[in-house]
Amino acid sequence: MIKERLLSVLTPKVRNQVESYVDAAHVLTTMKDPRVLAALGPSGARGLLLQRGKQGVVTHARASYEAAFDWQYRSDHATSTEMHDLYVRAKQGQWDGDSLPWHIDVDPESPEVPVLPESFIAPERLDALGIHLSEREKRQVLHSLAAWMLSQFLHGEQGALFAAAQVTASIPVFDGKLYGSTQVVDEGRHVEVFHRYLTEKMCKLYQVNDNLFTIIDALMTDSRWDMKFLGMQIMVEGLALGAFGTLYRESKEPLLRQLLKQVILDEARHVHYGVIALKDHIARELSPRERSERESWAFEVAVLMKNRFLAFEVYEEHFVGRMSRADWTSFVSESPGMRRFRTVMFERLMPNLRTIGLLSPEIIPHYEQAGLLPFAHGKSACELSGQDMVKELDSAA
Amino acid sequence: MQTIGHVRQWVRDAVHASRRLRGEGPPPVTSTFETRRHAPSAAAALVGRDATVVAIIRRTPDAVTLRLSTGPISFRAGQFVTLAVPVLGRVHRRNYSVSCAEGAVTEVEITVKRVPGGVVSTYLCAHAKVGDRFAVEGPHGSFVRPVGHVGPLVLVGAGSGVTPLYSILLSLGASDQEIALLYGNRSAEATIFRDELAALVLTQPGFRVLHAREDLAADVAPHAGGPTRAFAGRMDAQVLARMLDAVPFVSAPTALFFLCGPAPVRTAAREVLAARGIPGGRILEERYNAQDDRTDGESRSGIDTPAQPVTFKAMGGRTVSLTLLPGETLLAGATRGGLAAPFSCAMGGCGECRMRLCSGEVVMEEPNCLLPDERARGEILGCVARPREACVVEVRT
Repeated sequence: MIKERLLSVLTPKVRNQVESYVDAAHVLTTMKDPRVLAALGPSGARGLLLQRGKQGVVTHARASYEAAFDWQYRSDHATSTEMHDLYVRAKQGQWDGDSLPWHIDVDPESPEVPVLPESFIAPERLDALGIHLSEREKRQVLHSLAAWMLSQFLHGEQGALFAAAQVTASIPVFDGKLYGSTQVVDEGRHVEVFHRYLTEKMCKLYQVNDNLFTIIDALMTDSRWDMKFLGMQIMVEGLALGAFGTLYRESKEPLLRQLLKQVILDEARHVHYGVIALKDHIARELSPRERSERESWAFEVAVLMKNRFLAFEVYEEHFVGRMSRADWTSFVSESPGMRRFRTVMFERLMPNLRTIGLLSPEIIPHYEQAGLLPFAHGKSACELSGQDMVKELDSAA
Repeated sequence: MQTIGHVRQWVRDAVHASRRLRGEGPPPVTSTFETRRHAPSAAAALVGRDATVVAIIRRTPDAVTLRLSTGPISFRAGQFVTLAVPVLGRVHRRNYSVSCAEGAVTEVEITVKRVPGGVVSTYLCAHAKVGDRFAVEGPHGSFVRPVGHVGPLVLVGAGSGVTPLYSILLSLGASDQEIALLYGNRSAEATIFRDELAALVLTQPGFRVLHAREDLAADVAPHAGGPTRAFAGRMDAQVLARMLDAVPFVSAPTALFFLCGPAPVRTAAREVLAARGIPGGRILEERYNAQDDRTDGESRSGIDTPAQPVTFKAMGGRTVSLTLLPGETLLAGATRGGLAAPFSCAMGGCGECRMRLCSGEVVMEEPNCLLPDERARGEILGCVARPREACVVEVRT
């Protein structure tokens, strides 16, 4: 009440900034495990409080990690061909970004071939807040939301490109290094196609979301290779699969659908890579204390991903002064499209956490409380190919 | 140096924070890009860039090269552009291979051979002048050397089919790449790039030209075992077989074959190569030339079909049913229905939009590039096919 009264004296723009600081402080103070706070805290400060990704200059993040050279080029073929098979599949699955049908002209505000359909946000729900959008405004907001999502994909892919290069150097298994090299190329191609789509077709590029920046920054700066793997290959790639899958299913725009289909096929391999690399490592190499730290870290990041990707940049563009940040939060998080996004994302993510051994009885109550446990029983990346995923998305569309 | 960097960063942090607290947060959108013209339907989507004719070079009595100033454009050797040419108050669209070296350029060259009775080719060969402006769309096409291919090239072309092959030759630069051009023409005078090819033979050590000439009474042996020779006769299966016998690297397992030219030449080449056990995967074929046989050049809108219900069956089991508008093509309908149906030239020339007709009847603009065996399998070209009755169509997505 007091907080509300204090905020009410501020102008809408100042109030929005103050509220975003309050949000950031809330995220950092609700982390339960002090080890996770120590690992994510500095990145949270850089991303959420200082907004290092939004200062209009190149962001420098100090990476520290060990590169593992193996002059014997040992392969683990003898015990498992899984990683080698994945490398072979990745080589054969390469494609050229130029081969997409770029000649398709995209109208980002087209109601006939919508990039994002109205049902994604169901804008009529704004009526309850006294906001009535004209047809043109609806189309503009949908354009913004689609461009925002794609911009975050692009920023995430830039992070993935650098992280893939890091894990390629640091993974101790040589087959893993070979596979990693293909992922570097994949991520470069994803940056290329998303950037081209945004600049040529959507005509708009959004700032990096503070929460996404926080996760990427944490991955770049953490010195432990398995944390990079967990963060990038399992969590961020899982998030990406959820987001790409949702947009693939929702969009009617043929070029974007083709682009996403190709990207999903690559991403499915990336998650599989993370699962293969981590499942034995976590079971055999880590102490119980180290495993529990990773488990808590994964939980906090999952919660961050569940609650925090709420397109505040679109709010700042269209709705500051028209509705409160809290109203926007509930409007976006309860929109039909975002609900489907969370479902697809956690359907992919939770089985993978289970497979790599980060869903122990100690953490399960936390996931249950966060409403994420029902997703844990699906297929993991080892049991699901990219083709399966696209097929599943097609049949659900 | 590092300390200075840190201090600068802290100053930026402080300035950024103070701006935020004054309500001057960072703009949510970092960049916007020039708005494009938008067109919702696939067929109408091929909006061109303006190009101006800056030079005209006569190649033969029947063929000219037009140098077009297009603004920045990037293409691969073997690709084509689509020209929208206004003739007598109507705009006709035609595909022409780029016939200069590949790269990121601001001017491209196309080479046009007059087809007897052909509206556009006659106009371009006889009446085009420096300063003429056309809309150009593209580049399109996958008739390109795969990235990373290492091995000999065998280029087979006749008449104006040489144009993409010439671009491939020019793009190799001065190299010792093993490459043979098998090139059919009526006479020496009708041979496009005759002198240029003779010059290339001198600068590219691995390059040889084998002509097939209808006006020759007997084969002409190369001078002192040189790299140019001529075979007497029309370039049919028999002559092609003899020409291939004279190419030493034709059986190399890494050799790639490029076919371009009139349909009978391509058919003959496919037969001869199949008889030699060359797998189809090593044969690339450019088929769009068929459209230039179309002399009326105006059949796109000339086919009136009534509204018809059509069911599209996409990969992954997805089905879309909708009523096509009068005169609407299957490709436009499938795109309107949200299917990512592949297409390239959208004028019956490239075969990219092949669909399979399961039931019903369609009318297609003729001639087009569909091969006899594709017709026999019930395949149709979505971009020039319109339903005459209720249809069920399988779409590759």
